[in-house]
Amino acid sequence: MLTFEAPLFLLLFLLLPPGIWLRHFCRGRGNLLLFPFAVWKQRSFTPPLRLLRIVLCVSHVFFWTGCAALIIALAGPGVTSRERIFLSRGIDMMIVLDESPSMAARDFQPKDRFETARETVRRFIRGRENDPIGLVGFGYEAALQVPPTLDYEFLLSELDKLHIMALGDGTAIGMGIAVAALHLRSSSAPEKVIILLTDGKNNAGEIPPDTAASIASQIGARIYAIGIGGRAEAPIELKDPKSGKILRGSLEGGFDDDVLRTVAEKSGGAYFFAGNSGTLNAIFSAIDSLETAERRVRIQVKTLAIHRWFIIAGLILLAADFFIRILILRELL
Amino acid sequence: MNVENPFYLLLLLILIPVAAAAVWNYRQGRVSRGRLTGDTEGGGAGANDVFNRFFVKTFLSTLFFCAFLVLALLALADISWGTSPEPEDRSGLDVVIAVDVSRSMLAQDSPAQRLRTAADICLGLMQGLPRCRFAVVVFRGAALLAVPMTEDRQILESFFQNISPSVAGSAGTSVESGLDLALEAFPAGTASHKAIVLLSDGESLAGFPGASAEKAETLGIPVFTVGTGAAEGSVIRLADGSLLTGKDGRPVVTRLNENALRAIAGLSRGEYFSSREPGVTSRLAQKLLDFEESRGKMGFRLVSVHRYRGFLFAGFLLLCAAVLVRSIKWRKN
Repeated sequence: MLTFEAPLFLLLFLLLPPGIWLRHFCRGRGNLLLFPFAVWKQRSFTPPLRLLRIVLCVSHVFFWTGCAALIIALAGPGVTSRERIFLSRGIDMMIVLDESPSMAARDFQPKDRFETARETVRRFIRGRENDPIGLVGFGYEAALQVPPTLDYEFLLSELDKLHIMALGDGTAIGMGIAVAALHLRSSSAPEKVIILLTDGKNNAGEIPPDTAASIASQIGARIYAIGIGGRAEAPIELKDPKSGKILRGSLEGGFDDDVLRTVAEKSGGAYFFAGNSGTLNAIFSAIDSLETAERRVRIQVKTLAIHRWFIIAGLILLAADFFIRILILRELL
Repeated sequence: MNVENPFYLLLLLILIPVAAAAVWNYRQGRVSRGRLTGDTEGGGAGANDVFNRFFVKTFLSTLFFCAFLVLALLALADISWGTSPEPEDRSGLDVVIAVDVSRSMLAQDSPAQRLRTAADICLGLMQGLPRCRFAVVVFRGAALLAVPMTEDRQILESFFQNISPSVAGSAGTSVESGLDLALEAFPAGTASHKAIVLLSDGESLAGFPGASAEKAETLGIPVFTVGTGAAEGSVIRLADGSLLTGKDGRPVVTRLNENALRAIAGLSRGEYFSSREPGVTSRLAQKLLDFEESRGKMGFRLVSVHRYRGFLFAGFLLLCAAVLVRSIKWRKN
């Protein structure tokens, strides 16, 4: 929204009509030299100066538009925007995403499990406000991708960089939870949440899932464990990041319900099963509504001054008018 | 007194063509006027009077127009002096650490390696400010957000323990890009005070980042600069033990540019620290704590008072005078 810091200066626009009259229409003005071009009571002679008259007209438009730009600049124009400032602390969240090869199974048509999970997480992040969110990926090993942060743009860009098998061929669920818990440890948030998305059984890493869940529980983090993927055999297609070869086949067997349920219950969270993308979306919506914190918000109005652009425009127009009058029209008076 | 956009003052050179065009127009006009009216200079008292009036009108209107240009350009340069309080209801402190990771930071005159010294200062700073959130920006020719704003000390400590020039890819040193990205690294909607800590040897191959420092001042974000290195200079020893050489085959000598870092701190209302002084980390931490406490207690921050309007208004009046001198008919008493 355009606002003015000193709108009283806009009253200077009242000077423009008398200025225009004095400069262009007053018959007794000082910059006017009258010559009789007509014989008495005969048709007057019109000098063939059409181009020069157009240039003169343009020059006048430049001058008065330049003056108007300077008056606007004097009034201190600014563009105001409103920013929501959160005065309360949000919930710290860590999203722990499985990057094992089985996540390439194509039973979440038209996409595979990994892409569907990533898309759902992306929507979830975009729907949150004031909650620091981090990201952990795991395959054969687990790694922190993004620490809990409010910089959602950075988080989303890092989420887009994840790919299957980046952390090896395996499913280190326990390590994934442990890494998330480690990075939530120094958090001052009153509520901490870990959202685990996996489609497999823990088969790698030195920390078993239940031990990792105990660690999470000790730091006060709840785990929402989401098992994704159908029970039936599913086609699988993925690109080996090392060799670049496309691998195709079929996948049988799913995640370990009991382990995920134990992990969730141990930390005071909940276990969900997502057999298709619709269910996965519904689960994230449920978590979204479950994990809400009291919000105290202040609206701060910020004004970005833009007077500089009006001064620049005014200067350019007035300088153009000056040079047109002096150099092209060769003004005499 | 502070000039926010000094480069606009270069436009004062436009006065030369303006004056030259006015002189040329006066000379041409004198001849043309004589032809039109039949008067010639030296052709009697009446004719001389006309020519004198023509000279005075041209001289005054050109003088007023030139004075208008000077004042409008001073307004555009945005001169400020004095301060005024602006309400600020915030608590907590978010710090963006901007670290120069160019190859000159490999010089070992700080007294240890400059980059290692900078990393140690950052690690100490995090210990000294346990309640603060930090983000890390690294820069060489371009800048990179290495760690988003977070409370997670694990990732921050791990980053500074392993920092090297390889964390940013582009060649060169652009302190400006580092500062610009640091200003963007504060997530929107947070109610914390904001500060930037810039660690560099001040050698910038992309010019002085004055505009970025002034933008920081406008946003109320002080930049505390830490100079690493020595003014006497040092050669740069690369990881393989060899010396970095220039195109002429001679070793490159890099020197601490303390003046640039002092100027950045001064423009943004921060402070300069030298890494060679004892206790620099604790003094810097204390300075940041004092900054947070003082802003929190006062409930306002001091902002520069921009004086563009006074210059522009005076310029506008002179422009009106330039028009009136030509437009009002001068009558002889």
